[in-house]
Amino acid sequence: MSNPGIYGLALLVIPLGASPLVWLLGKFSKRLRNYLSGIITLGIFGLSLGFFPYVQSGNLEFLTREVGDVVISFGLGPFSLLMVSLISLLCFLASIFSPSYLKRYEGELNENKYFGLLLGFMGGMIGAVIAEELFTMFIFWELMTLAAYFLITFEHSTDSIKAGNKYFLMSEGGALAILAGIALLWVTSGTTQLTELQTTAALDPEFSVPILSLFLIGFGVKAAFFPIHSWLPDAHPEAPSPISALLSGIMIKVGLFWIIKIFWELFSVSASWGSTLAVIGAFTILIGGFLAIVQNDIKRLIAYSSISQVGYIMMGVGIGTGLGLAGGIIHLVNHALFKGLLFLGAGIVVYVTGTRKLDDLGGLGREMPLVFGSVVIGALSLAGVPPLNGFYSKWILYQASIDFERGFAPFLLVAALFGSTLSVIYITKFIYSAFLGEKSTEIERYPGWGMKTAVAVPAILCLGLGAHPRPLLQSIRPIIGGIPVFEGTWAAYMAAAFLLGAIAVGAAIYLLVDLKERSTRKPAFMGGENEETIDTERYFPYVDKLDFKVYPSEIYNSIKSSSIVNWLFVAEERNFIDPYVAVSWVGKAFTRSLRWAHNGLLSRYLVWVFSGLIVILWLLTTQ
Amino acid sequence: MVGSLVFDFFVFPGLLFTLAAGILASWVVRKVSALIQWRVGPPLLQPAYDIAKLFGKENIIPKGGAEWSYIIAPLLGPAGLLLASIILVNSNYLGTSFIGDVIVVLYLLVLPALSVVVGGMSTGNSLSAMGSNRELRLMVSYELPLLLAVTAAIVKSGGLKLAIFTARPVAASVSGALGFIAALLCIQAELGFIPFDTPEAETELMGGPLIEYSGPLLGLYKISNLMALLVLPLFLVTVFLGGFSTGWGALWGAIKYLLVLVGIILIKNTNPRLRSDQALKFFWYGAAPLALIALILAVVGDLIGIGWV
Repeated sequence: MSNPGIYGLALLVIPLGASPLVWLLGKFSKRLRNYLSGIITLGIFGLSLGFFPYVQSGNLEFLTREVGDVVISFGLGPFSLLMVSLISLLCFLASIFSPSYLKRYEGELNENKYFGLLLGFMGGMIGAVIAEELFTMFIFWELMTLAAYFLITFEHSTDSIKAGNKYFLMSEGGALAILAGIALLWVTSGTTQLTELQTTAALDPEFSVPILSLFLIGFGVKAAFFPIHSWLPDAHPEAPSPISALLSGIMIKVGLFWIIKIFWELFSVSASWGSTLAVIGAFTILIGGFLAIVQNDIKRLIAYSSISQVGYIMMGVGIGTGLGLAGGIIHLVNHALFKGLLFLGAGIVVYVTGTRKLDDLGGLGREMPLVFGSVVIGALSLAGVPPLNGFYSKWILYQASIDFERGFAPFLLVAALFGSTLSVIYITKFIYSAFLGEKSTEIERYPGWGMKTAVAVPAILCLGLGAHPRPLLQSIRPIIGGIPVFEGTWAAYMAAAFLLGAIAVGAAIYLLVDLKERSTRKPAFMGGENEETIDTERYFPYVDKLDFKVYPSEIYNSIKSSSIVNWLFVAEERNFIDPYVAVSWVGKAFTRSLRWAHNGLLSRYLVWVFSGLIVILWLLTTQ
Repeated sequence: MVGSLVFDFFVFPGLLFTLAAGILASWVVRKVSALIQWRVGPPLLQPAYDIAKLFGKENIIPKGGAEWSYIIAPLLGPAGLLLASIILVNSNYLGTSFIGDVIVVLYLLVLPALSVVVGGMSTGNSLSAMGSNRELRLMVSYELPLLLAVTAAIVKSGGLKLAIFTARPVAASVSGALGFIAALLCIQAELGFIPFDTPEAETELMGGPLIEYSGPLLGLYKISNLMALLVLPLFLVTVFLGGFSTGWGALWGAIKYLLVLVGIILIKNTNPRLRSDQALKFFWYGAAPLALIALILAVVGDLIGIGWV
């Protein structure tokens, strides 16, 4: 590539151009449409990998053109390239997952629209990441929001439209904040181009607080940290599963990307901003974790865990040292991988059984060993179990919070550690109730090869990047300007060997004691009776059928009823921590106060008309 | 390299050592308890006999339960404790320590409780489900003060490496001592000992999560308990009391370990059982503030540079 810039623009143009093409192509051949979207996303991923050598030394500028007063500019930096490759990888996984997943709707919905929007969504995200000028970024940001809105409401159910509207209105509120921030920046600093902002034009100190707050809120709505997270747990479960994987895997990361970029690359902000972000992150970890524990909807549980994990990234970013940024960015990458995997895995569960309720699921591990294995890897990675990649990034974050020279830094460490304990607890609920447990639902259909590949690939990446994290470190080296040196070595290989050894020893014990031969199956006893011998008619005359199933929701509810954290769950149930509802309350209160005037009586309306006329005439005559 | 790994895994800090030391520790627990209650107590090898007997018995799998998780769950506990033991002992004995091994050990110590929860949920028995329920709640309650106390120790010693903790005993300071007390109470709950044995409460739940388990699988749970008796006090000794080293240091370490163990046994034998909600209140309103004070003191001491705070 003699002039890589030309090819760089292809990253943006190809998905956007292919979006209507795929939409139209689907009218003629569904197979061709599926192949084309797979090939395009994979091609973009390959192309983005090819760019890595070019951004090691510095940013790559593609195009800067002045249109009237506005400058349109695109370019690639090491961080945005990392984002582009993540976006295209997850979009590829989603596009090979989707053809079989869409069979769930049995042709009732417009699948062509789905694939067209998927590529448009991808183009919007890539554009929002590679834009080097803030207004350009804003256009693609809105494209991303809009495409995501139509994808979330794709199922056209009442719930999905409600969730989609909530997402859209909150996002637009955020977008207004971003727009106001950009305008304010333009007025005060005279430019919105990132390169100029970085080099010549400084942030006006008088306006730095409003500008940065506007950006934090605006991008924060997408990044979904507490307390502006509330669209996420509604929108994620209602979207089709591959779309949830994209929303949680990367769309919220685009928000985080801009927070990192604005706060650390463009303006090196004061330490108090960093502390604010870190503390927000710590609260987000804990609140997301606690709320995830009590969810009984498989996708809602993972959605709340996304909020919790966003807290980790925010914490690392807020710490802001080389180590903290490294931990935050690596956790961002890792979270994209394992959360994409978990949402796709949940998608397979939904596809196979047709339900999202954890209590109705169970025993799928036996039916789908490959999917089960992949999801377990993703779950362990989420919980941060060594030697997987989730542990690696969390480990850097722990070290960063220890080195952070602030009095409250140890409390960040406690929040991060406790968040990990919570994640172990909720992810056990997910794995147990869906894949282990009693088999309780009939399997409607089995997953196709595309679905299996889409969960196996990120699982392999999670394993590989956990045992061999060097490529990750290499790719973030230019972002944070060198890798901070860790003393000592993390013996990932050794831990992996030991864990495998422990499993082998366990298997050996089972073989040694001849467990299979020696096992007999008998019903469980309760109070001297068992399921078979119990005289139901005599003891439980009003019960149709005694239910011996153990429901995970009931087991985990004991945490909910614990007096100390109960207030949090009550607050969540009654929407006390939901700014969307709060705004709607304010709006309702305002309109209610005017309701008396709008009562449908003609005589009253005539009074308003004439009094208005009198006021206008009076104003006109006195001027 | 491979040879030493195999040796590590199977012989010295690994399987054989953990089992032998666990059996010894279990004997100490039973003997001291017997002495407190004016009984004679069992012979030295009684715990080993018990386990050998369990491994010779038939295995009953409950029909209404979830077979897979019922069989896999008992393995989690011993596997986690084995790894924790290897990391702990090696970092003390050989000084091979990596950054973050405290965290790894904390993670691994969650596994035994988790294995009890998953095992209890998969038996299809409502009593064991209730036990799992209580175990989860107990986990949420003791994890917070434990993490606060360990973080206080981390601040005090200034790093995430176990080898750093052993350089100077953390408990030789006000914050370290407070943290040690809080952590000791948490270890009591993590071991499932009275006063925090609500999940297994024999008198009401008849063994709780383990009610349906029999034969080799129950034996694995017993092995997990044995190993926990070694690993959890050893974790406290390493993090708060300066660990142990080679030579005479090993003997001194063993004495410290025994003191912690006997302390745990004394608490066990002189207290009544707390209700599940009382345990939660105890940890969140009692132990957690204590550990929080320890952490605040440690941070203040670190900032103004006074060692003994």
